[in-house]
Amino acid sequence: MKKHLAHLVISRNTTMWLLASLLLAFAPHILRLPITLSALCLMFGIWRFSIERHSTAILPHRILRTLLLCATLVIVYLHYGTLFGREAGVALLACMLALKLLEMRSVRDYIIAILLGYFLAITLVLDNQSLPMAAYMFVVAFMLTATLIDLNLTQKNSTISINAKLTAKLFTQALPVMLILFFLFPRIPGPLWSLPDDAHSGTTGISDEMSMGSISHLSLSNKVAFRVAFDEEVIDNNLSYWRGPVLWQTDGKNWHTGDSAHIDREISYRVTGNPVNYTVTLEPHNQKWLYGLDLPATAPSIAVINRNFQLVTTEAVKELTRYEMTSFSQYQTGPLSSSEMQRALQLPANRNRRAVALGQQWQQQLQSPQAIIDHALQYFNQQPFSYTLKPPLLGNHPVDEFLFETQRGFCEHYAASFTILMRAAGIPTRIITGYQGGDFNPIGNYLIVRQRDAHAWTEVWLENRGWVRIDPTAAVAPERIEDGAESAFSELFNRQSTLQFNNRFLTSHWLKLRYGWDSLNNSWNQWVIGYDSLKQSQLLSLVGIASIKQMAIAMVIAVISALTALLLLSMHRNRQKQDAVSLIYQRFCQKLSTIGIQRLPHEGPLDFAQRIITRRPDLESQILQINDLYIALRYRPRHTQQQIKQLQQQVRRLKL
Amino acid sequence: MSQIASSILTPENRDKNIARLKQTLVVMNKVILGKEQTLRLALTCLIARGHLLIEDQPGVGKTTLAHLLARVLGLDFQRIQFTSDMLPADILGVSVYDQNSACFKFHPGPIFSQLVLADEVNRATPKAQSALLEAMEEYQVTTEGETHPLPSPFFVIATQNPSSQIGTFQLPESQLDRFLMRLEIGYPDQAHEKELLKGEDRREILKALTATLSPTQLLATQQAAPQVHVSDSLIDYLQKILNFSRHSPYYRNGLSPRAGIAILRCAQAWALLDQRDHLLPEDIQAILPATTNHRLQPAAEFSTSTPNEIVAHLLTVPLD
Repeated sequence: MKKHLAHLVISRNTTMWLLASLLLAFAPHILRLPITLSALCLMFGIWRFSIERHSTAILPHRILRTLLLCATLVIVYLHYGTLFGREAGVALLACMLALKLLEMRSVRDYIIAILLGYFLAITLVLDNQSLPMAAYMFVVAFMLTATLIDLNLTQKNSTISINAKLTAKLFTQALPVMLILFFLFPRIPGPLWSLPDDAHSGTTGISDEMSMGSISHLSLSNKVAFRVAFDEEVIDNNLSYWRGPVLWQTDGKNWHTGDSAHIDREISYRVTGNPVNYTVTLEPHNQKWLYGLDLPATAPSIAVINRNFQLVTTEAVKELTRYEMTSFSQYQTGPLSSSEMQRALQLPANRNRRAVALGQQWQQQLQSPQAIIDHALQYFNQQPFSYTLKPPLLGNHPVDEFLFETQRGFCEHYAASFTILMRAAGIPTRIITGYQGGDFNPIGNYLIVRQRDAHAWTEVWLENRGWVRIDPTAAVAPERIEDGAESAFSELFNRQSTLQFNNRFLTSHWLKLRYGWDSLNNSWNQWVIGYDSLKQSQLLSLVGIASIKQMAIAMVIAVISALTALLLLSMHRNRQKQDAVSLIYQRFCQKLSTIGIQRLPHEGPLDFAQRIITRRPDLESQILQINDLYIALRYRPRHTQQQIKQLQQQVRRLKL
Repeated sequence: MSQIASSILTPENRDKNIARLKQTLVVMNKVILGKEQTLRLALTCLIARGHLLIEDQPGVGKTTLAHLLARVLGLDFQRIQFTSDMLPADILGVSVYDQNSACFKFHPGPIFSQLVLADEVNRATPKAQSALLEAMEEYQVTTEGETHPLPSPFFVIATQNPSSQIGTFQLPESQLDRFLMRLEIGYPDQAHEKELLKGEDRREILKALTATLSPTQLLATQQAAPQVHVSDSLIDYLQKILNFSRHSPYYRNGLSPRAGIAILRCAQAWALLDQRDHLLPEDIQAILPATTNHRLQPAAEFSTSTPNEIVAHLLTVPLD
């Protein structure tokens, strides 16, 4: 093997192809890695490129390479503080691969570089598992495989089209194996090994704290938060409130959930109207809750409903999660405990005094809580309040400043101010954060909820009615609630998109394209990324396999039967080539192999017969007869069907 | 000629001839002891109408073998000792002016003989070597515009001494290909050497020998050889061997189609000597090393192997 490889000559073309495909594998990493490391890797690549261009130049000396290696290791360590873990590991892999280019000489080195290239391409999915990335990785794998083929084709006539054709052939052959492994390889619930802590940093979404301005920064993000497929009709936009963390506690500036000691107490509520059944596919957001439509009635197996009617999980959501839900949009919750009452009326001392005073004034002027609420909403509606994504910065008394000075704010400004006013007026109030609205995708028939749909609203507790949702933003900007965030800030969003369509025809097509694209992504998420142990067991239960153990057995059976089928096929092909005489002779040889006389593949009939007779002189006459017949049939010009029959009989009669 | 052939080529005649050939082999084995396989190969080469190259140490019986073949087959014999100052005319012959007839008369050289022993062929210059090899290939000699056919049968045994290479001109690979077989005789084993040392002078025995086969009978046998039946499966086997030599890492380059034909011709002659009218895989295997070891050069990594070690790999090619 070694010698075989030794005299393969590596052409410059092969090296160029290798460099190109490795650059392709590395490209998405360029922006992710620290700039020094990216530059270093590119520099090594260019170095090798120029060596290849000017064939007089030679590879750097071993001492220089060792120094470069040490320098690279130090840089990686300085950047990450470690050489292990996901980020540092990927950086190290990229750098080592780039360094390998500088000592690549033999075929073995090239093969190592190509295999590392595959590995580097695989690390791309650590950051991005989307459909475009999968397509990109396919291209990278194709290029690398074509390079591998180019390396192995010794004939100088290997052209791009030959390599590409062979690669395509190999990929096609690998496809069934890939599908079998994808569907049948046992999926283990949860990750096989835990990912390092930094694996999910940087995921955006709603947190369990809110300050004025914390939600509006989300509103520029087009990232998908989750997708919802409804079993029956899609819910109206103004009822589409996706419940997240519930905020009670405030210091006048920041809001948080407060202590959660009361979570375990039993909850009771009555529901009226029809249930809404739907399935949510939640993008990872690294938080310990799920989103459900107001008000969730059932909890999926991974979550529980707490007293705030929030779906709480024990583990943070770190991968794409799919769950089925039932909610009721009309409900009535039960009474409030004294501690809850206390928390729902909590106001920080010495903050936002003017707002508190206004609330207290309303309490004195107006009779019923309902009247106070209506008055407050009217206040927001009639005063020159405006709804904006770019609210001015607020100081130490943010609610006062917002209510009486700037009067420009985003949903959290209205929710926070409203809560302060209500609590001052003696009405128990809390803030709910989550998402509101979403785009309906008519092609995929589901709702897309994006980060820009993040929202904050309030709930007031009224005697006999329980918690009632009040959305003060609706009083200021009803279009935000009716038509969604995009229409409320249409000017802004349009300016953001690079393509601006004045033409209505084009716009509608652009929309269709966008919906189609998202629908494709959704299917990808549902069926490829989301193909987990649960779906696997569902699929397998269709064919009657219930457990992982059974599946392992089924896999073994599948593999064995596939191998057997292949073996049989090749045997069948061989058999077709051989005529009846060879078959009979084969049987003869098999018979003899049972007594330990094995015909060698290159052994002629005379030699073989001689060997048998030396071993078993008692068989001489039989063997000679068979041999004569066989030679006559196989090597002499004319023979008859009769002779074949004779041979068959003789072989059958041969008793060992 | 064709009339003679057809009259001789009846099955009975053929069998008689082959029986005589077998008798010849027995006689030969009494002169050169313990080299049955080599003698048989030499005879096979002759029946297959090929020329023979013997490469071995001096004194192992190269010349004796040539003498012996000439003797037992009743062929007229010429020995040409090759030297570095030899000219083509020394082999082929010259035209000398004849005063009586007032014209040039061709005086045939030593090559005009049924069996020619070209001793130490690598001592001569390429020019002289080429003259011999051309005659071997063409079965005729052309000098000064005149073509003179060589006698029939015509058989050349060339010898080479592998050691003491100083002042020699190695035959190029393309010319080695002209020889159907290349044989090594090797030392006799202990028992046979003892017999040889105790026995009478080989030359005396040679002198006493009479021909067991006439040249006409030899010609008839030569014509019978290509009629040995070769089944398709053996053609496949031969092709496998050729392909193996072309793709295996052991050889610098593979066997040529001409080599393939040579193998087949030799195998047929071998089968005939075995009194068979059909070819068997064993026939091919028997003559394979002798017919290929001068045609295949080892690849760089295997340059330390001997030619016979290298061609032994060909014997491992599976039959089917």
